[in-house]
Amino acid sequence: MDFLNDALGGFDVVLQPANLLFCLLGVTLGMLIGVLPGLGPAATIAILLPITYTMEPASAIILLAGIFYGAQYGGTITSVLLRLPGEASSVVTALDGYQMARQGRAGAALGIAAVGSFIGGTIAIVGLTFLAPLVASFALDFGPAEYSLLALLGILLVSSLGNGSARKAAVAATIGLLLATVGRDPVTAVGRFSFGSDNLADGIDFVIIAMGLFGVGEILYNMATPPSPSGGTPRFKRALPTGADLKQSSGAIARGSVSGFFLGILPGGGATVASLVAYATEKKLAKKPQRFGRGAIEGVAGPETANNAAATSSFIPLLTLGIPANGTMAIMFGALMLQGITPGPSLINEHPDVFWGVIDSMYIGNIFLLLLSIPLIGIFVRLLSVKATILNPITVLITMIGVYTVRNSVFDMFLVIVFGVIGYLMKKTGYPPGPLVLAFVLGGLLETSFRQSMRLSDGSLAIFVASPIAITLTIAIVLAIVAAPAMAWALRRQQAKTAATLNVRPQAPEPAPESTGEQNPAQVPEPVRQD
Amino acid sequence: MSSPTTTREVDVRDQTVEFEVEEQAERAGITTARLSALVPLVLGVFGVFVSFGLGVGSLSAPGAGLWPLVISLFMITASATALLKAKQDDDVEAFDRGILTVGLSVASLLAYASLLPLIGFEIPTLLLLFFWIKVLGKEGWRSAVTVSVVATAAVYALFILLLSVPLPHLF
Repeated sequence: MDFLNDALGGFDVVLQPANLLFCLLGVTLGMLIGVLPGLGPAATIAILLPITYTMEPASAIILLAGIFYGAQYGGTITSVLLRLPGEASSVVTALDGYQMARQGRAGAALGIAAVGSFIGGTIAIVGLTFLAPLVASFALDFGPAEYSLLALLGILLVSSLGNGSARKAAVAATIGLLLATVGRDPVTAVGRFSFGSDNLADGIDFVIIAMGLFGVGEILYNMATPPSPSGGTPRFKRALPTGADLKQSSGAIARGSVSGFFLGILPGGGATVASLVAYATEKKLAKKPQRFGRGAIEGVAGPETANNAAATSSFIPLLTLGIPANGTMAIMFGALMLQGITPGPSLINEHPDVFWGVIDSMYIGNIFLLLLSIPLIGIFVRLLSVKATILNPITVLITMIGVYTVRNSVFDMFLVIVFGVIGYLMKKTGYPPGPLVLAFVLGGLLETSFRQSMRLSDGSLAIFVASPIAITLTIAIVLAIVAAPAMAWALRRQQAKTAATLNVRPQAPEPAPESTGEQNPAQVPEPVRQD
Repeated sequence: MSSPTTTREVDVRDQTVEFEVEEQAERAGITTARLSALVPLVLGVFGVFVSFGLGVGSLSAPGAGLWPLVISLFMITASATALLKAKQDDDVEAFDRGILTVGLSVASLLAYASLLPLIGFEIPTLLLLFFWIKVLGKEGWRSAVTVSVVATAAVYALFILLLSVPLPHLF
């Protein structure tokens, strides 16, 4: 248990005033962008990457992590009050949360979401604290063959379980892998796909791809289809659940914490799947399932607890194996690489301040979130009236100048515009950008470790079944290929069911004339962000 | 700052519906779906040619082109599947009039990046913001001018005065 010393040492890092400030800034910013329509956490983190260049590694990741889990909660606010889920992981919350809001219980819904998020997040951090060192020590035995398999498995799972069609995700992933080959060959240093351009000789910077696809691409998409101008914002009383609410939700919160934690570790799953599974579980276990969809508080508590737990535990594969579990984690991976830190099993020993600093910052961040969310919900809701027509130009300006500052290069500005157009076209045609960015990040690792294993084995593919770990991973890959369509189908069915329920609501109590929802009864809130 | 015409109001509402009903937003024809799969297919074929040009080698002695070749082949397979199944695609959005806004946005960004090294960031920034807010966003004069000026001044204060970033600037 000597890792506990290091674990406690992480608090020394977090409790430095500057890092506390970054943590607070991160969660506040995260909640803000979770509330505001338009940019998602992936885009925000991507756009802020240049700023983190100059920061201490631990501070940078503390800030970015805060944005990530803060956004999980921010998305809930719009989900409950306006039935407009800010994040994919909050879609299912809209089912019962919005009904509660219409019954005048918005405060209770938001309050229970805050409490559930706090508990789920905290339980997941405890799990992370104990499980992460274990996984990391286990992964120290991994050779190049195991790493190739692991990277491959990661790309496969993210492609098949993410949003959107699996074949399109596969296309996106191969594009990412090909983009990763631009620049010098890692072994022979022969230039590849650089077309004689000095600017491409060292490959494409990850920041450019992330900022282009997620940042500029999303802004361009928003320009063509502006997010809804919020009509009237519902009024609500204090965001405090009653004792009865807490008692009724306690089971849902406990179950959501555990299921969310484990689903978050799986690549490709993460917060969205966790929230869907939690909702389905609660509905199944309820004595009166017909209450669901009409304002059942467990229907808010379960998914909200689970998505926060999952958001937290999705750091495990990144910090211990160096395999990002989703698009946002891929950007975190990039952020660490920018700091000269390669995430992987050695991270815990080589950079304990970063490893434990980030984990411990989540304890603090969750407390910040709980303290902030209850008094600040009113302010956040008022921010909904900030117009996209003002927000988009400012965001694009920050992106352009941010890109320039990375290498003081105008070429990079053009490149980010090109990737912005690609990101826009991908979004329009249903190709998810997440797998592309993930594959780009893992592409280098995959190629290097694949070639190392080939050199070790003299070109024999048998090396991929030569050790127990390799065999397990190979079986997992085969299973992923075989079972992924079935899992994706089940996931989509659940999402379709959610959409259908939101579509034809069983009851429409007192009409809310100002809400856009009433004017378009056929709407299905569909998040515009990639997680 | 309210919209000057009522038709705009209607516009916004229609687009709102599309945004919220993303799943049911106007679907594109099969041509768009096919084209979107054809582009990576062509890219994959191109990748194969470049890979052979780089030298493929063998598994035990791989050339620089082996890895790109493997990826390109996967890319061809995946996009060919997507092309064949384009008929079932229900997630391709139609390109409506919004494409014009996107085109203008991209053009103005390209102009911004071209002008920045020549005449510094101040004037291009002011113009870019004004163009996006007033022309593309159809906001009123007052908010367009205010936001453009304040944001440009803020960039100047932050990047030039505070952080001393070597951003090309006039003043």
